[in-house]
Formats: sequence, structure tokens, C-alpha cells
Amino acid sequence: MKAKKAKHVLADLATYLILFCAVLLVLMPLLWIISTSLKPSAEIFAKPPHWIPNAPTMQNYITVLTESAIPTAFLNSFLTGLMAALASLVLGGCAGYAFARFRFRGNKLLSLFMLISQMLPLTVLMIPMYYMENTMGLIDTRFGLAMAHLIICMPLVTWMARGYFQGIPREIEEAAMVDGCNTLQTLLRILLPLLRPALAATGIYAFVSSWNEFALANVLTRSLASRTVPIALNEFSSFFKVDWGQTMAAAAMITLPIILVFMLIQKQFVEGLASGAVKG
Amino acid sequence: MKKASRLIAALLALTLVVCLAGCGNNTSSAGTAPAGSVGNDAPAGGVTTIEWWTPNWDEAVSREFVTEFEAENSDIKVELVITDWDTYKDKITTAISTNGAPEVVTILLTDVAPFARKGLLEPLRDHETAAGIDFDDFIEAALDITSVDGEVYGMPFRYDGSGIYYNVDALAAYGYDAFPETWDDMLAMCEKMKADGKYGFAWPLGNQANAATRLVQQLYTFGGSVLSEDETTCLLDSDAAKQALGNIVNSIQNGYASPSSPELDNTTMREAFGAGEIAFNITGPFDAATLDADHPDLNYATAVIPGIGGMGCTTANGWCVSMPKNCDEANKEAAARLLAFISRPENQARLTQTFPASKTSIQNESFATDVLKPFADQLENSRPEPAYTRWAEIEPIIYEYIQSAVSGDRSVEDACEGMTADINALLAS
Repeated sequence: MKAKKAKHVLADLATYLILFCAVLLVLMPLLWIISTSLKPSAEIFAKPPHWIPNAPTMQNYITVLTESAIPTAFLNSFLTGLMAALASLVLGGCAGYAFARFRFRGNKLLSLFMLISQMLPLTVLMIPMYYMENTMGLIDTRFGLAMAHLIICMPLVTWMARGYFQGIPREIEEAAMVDGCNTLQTLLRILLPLLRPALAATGIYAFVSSWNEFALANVLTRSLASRTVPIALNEFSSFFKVDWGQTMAAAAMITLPIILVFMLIQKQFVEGLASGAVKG
Repeated sequence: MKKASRLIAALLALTLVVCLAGCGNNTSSAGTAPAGSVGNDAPAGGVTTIEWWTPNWDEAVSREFVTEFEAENSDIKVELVITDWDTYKDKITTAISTNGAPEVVTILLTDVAPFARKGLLEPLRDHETAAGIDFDDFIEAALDITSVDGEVYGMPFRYDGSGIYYNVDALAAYGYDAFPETWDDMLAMCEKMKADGKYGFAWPLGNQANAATRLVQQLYTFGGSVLSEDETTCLLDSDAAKQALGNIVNSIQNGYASPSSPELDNTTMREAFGAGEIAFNITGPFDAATLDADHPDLNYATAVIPGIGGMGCTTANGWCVSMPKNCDEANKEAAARLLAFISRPENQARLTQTFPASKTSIQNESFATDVLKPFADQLENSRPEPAYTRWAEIEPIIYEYIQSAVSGDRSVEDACEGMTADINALLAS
């Protein structure tokens, strides 16, 4: 009995050790970003490199907040992400419901096709997207960028929503219908309240995808009217010099909110992905 | 758990504060363009609006230029779009490949020919002659880079190449009061430093473009070329290429150059030089300002790059302004006037942190300093950086083989043969 218990403890220890190493490996770059952001420029290239700054300073953060375009880009990213998340939830949610509940020819093929579109490299889509948005006068606008981000958000949002809807027993809908609800009322009054946490997690996934997107934002934005944070980060580097302290301070400010959001929704997010995955 | 939630809530609130700061932040700092959408439409009153895409390191002077140009040309309004080094090429490629091209773009000299060969840039000789430009005042080598089949597609305003920065005190400690003039003498100096456990220099092999440039510089010193003139055959299996790559590999393996070279780029090498970790550094004249600012106590001087029996060869490159072919036809005359304005000798001098591409402008006393003189001398033995049509695909192949030779996975001979075979296969495809 004792030996069995000791074996369990050892197994647990080994598991935690492996997990600890994995976490450390993942966190290392983030910790280095924070460490560098707190160093004065003379310390950034010090040899040997050190984790704890000798003379920690908040100057890089102050400069980024007061003299750079990062705060405006932050606002642009927030509004663009919000629009992309809302649009993909409305459109992807409806599509997911249709795929989950309506029987029509090509249902499976079309829902799979949504995912295939996710596999296209963004560089392939850049020129047609630029052409279309330029024709519609949407270049360098937050709305135009948010619409372009639907390419990234929509497929997975649709797929996840389809999984959520399939997870709800049809009997609940049938009961609502018996009570006099039509399809739209059933969706709005019965299904959506049930799926609120899952859809919120999906929306946040769409928001985060938009927040981190670089390739499309790079070609579709031109000025601070729409430039998002991944693009604004380049402000600190030129052909001749890179200001690593400010780059890292800005990177930390951009990354931390996303990590916090993921910490808050990780449970629903994983559940949503899993339910979408097993009910294909 | 409650505490953690509070902490997360507090941090998210902080995020909101940063966003709100963005609402009121209309600052136009370095690297940013003013808020507001930009477009090519001409406003009422007969004013033509044109766009100039300029990089963030030129933003301050570009803004001055716009003010002065608009004062001189009341019928033209110029809107600036600020680009940056990491993304400018993708942005410009996309814009000039569609119908959203700006009227004027600042681009690297060696990017002009690939764009021009695809028919994406407007030929400039007629436009600029009409705008009063004297093409004879341009440094021929710079103008050659932006010319294809005798037609000019870019107006150069900056042209420079590498040279040597050396730590005067570090060299003096080994009995040198000037930098050695030949590669062998330089290695002899490094041998003395090696005895004290010090490295003479380093190679920026952690960055693809930096590493390929260094190999090409060595290659040019030995009289080699990357491709044949018709760009159909790779010449990197030549003796010149093997000597060039051998110089890089041997200097590291013999302990003359830092073993950290595979992790370094031009920026980290400058920092290593500034911090006194290496005795000399091969880089461009633009690093002088950063060294002066970041390492004010550093006692450094400059010299030409040593080669075989004398000065080695450097690669040269620079920046120019071009006009995309598919910009608004009605705005081309206005764009030509802006190009002519930027190309004026006095304006080239203001826009460059190194050397202008104008013969008149280079006489300006600001370019005759002790630090800059060796770089000017070095330009006499310079060749343009490669501007081959498929250079963007060739460079990663060269980089891969440089790394494998430096790491000892391949011999210099095998690396040269291997990269030649791969590049020939690419060119044949």
C-alpha cells in the first residue's frame, strides 16, 4: 500500500516537473520581454546577459505611452477587434446554426470547406483583398480592416458554433416549438441564452485573432487612422537602429491583456473547441 | 481566487486606460503619420493631391520638405504615408501591383530594378528632364543601380557602402596607430589579440541579409560575381567565391572573429563594438551617429576595408524616390515635380544621414569629416549590392550554406558547390 502511494507521489512529481519545464519554456520569452523592457539601453546588450535589471527603469513604458503611437494603435486594435468579433459572431453563429440544424445538400462539404479556407496563406489573399477594399474606399479604415479580419475569424467561429448547437438536444427546441416559438424565437430565446458563455469565448477568440493579425493590417493600413498595435510596433525600428527597450515595453503592453483574457476564458474556450471537434 | 480575479480586473482596467489614452493621443511622433484617411482625390480649387510613402527614419525631414514644396507649388498638396524597414516592401509591392499605388515612393536602390523589370515603375528620364533635373549631377554608380536598359526608374538621394570602425585604444595596445591596409595584415593583428583571448571582429551571420551582404563584399574583393550577366547561371562555385567564404569561415574557426558571429546582426555587432567587445567593425557610415550617442566615450576612427594587397571592395546601396506606373495618370506631372524637388543637391544633403547621390551635394562640408572620409574613399572601390530579379529567392539559399559552412557541417568547397547547384536549379525553374 505504502509502495503504491510512493509510486503515485513519484508519478505526480514527474508530471509536475514536466509541466513546470513546459511552462517555463513558454514563459521564458515573455519574461525576457518584461526584463528587457525594464532595462536602460546600456544594459540591454550587457554581457553576460542578466535577467534582473541592475538599474530598473520605467522610462521605456513612459516613452511608449506618452510619445509613441501605441496608445492610438491600441484603440484601433480594440475597435477593429470588437467589430470583427461581433460580425463574425453574428454571421458565423447563423452559419453554424444552419450547418447544425438544417438538412440540405452539401451541408457537410460546405462546413468542411469553411475550414479549408482557413488553410489558405494570407499572402495569397493580400492583393485581391487590397484591390477590393481600395475599390470600395475601405483602405486605411478600422471598418475595412475588421471586414478583412473576418477571413481569419469566420471559419473557426462557424465551426465552433456548429459544434455548440449540435451539443444541445433537439428536444429542447421541439419543446419550444410546441410552446409556440418559431425558429428565430427558439434561437434567440432558448438556444442563445444556453450558449452565452460558449459564444462569448468564441467571440473573444475572434477578437484575439484580429488583435494579433499582422499581414493584412500591414497592407490595409496607412496611417494612425487605422494602424493596429502589431504594425505600430515597427515604429521603434528603422533601417539604422532598433530601440529594443521601447519595442519590448510596447510588446509587453500589447501581450499582457491578451494573456489575461485567455486566462479568464480558457475553460470555455477549450470546451468549445472540443465540442466542435468531436461532433463533426 | 478572488484576489486573482481582482488582479486580472485591475489589469484589464489598466488596458482600458491605455485605450482611452489613445482616444486623446494625437501626437505625431517619429514613425507615425497624422490621423486621418489619405486618398488620391483632388480637392476642389484645382489642387492636385499626391501621396509620398516615406520611411520612418526620414519622417522629420520629409515633413519639412512637404511644407516647403507646398509653399513653392500652391497647386499641389502632398500627403505623407510613413513606412518602416520591416514592412515597406510588402506594402509597396501590394499597392503598386493593384490600383492603389501612391504617386511617389522611397525605396532601396536595389529594389528598383526588380520592380522596373516587372513594369511596375514609371520611366523617369523624360518626366524629370522636363522638371529641370540635371542627370549628369548624379553619381553614375548610383544612377546605374536604378537604371534598366538605359531608362531611369529611381532618383537616388542616398548612396553609401561599408567601411571599418576601429577602436583606437584597442589597436594602440597592440602597437597599431592606424588600421592595417591588407587582409593578411589585419589577420596578423587579430592573431596578437587572440593571444590575449580577445576577438578582433565579428560577422553578422545571424541575419540573412547582413550575412549575404558580407559574403558578396568578400566575393567582390576577389573579383567574383553571384550570377552571370544574363542571370541564368550561378557563379558561386568559382575560386573567388570559395576564397570569399573561406575568409569568413576561417576567421571564425581560427579565433580571429567572434564565435558568436552566427547569432549576431549589424545592430548587435555595433553594440559589441561600442561596448569594447570587438576591436573593429565592418559597417556603414550611418552607425557613426548611433555610436556617438550611445557610446560618447568610445575613442574610435574609421578606415577603408582591407583587401588583397590594398583596399578591399565594398557593396554599395542607398535610397531613391520612384513613381509607380499605375498611380493616377493625372497626378504624374505633380509627382515629377516632387521628385525633382527631393533630388535637388541641397535637399539630398538634408535627407541623407550618410552620403548623397549628387556630385554637387557631396562637396558639402558636412560630408568631409574625418569619420566620413574613408567611407567616401571606399566608394571608389565599390560595386552595387545584387539587384537580380530573383535575389529574394537566392539570398536564403546562400544564407543556409554560409551557416552550414560556419558550423562545420559542410566544407567551404561543398557549401559553394551546394549553393551553386541549388541556385542553378532555382534559375532553371
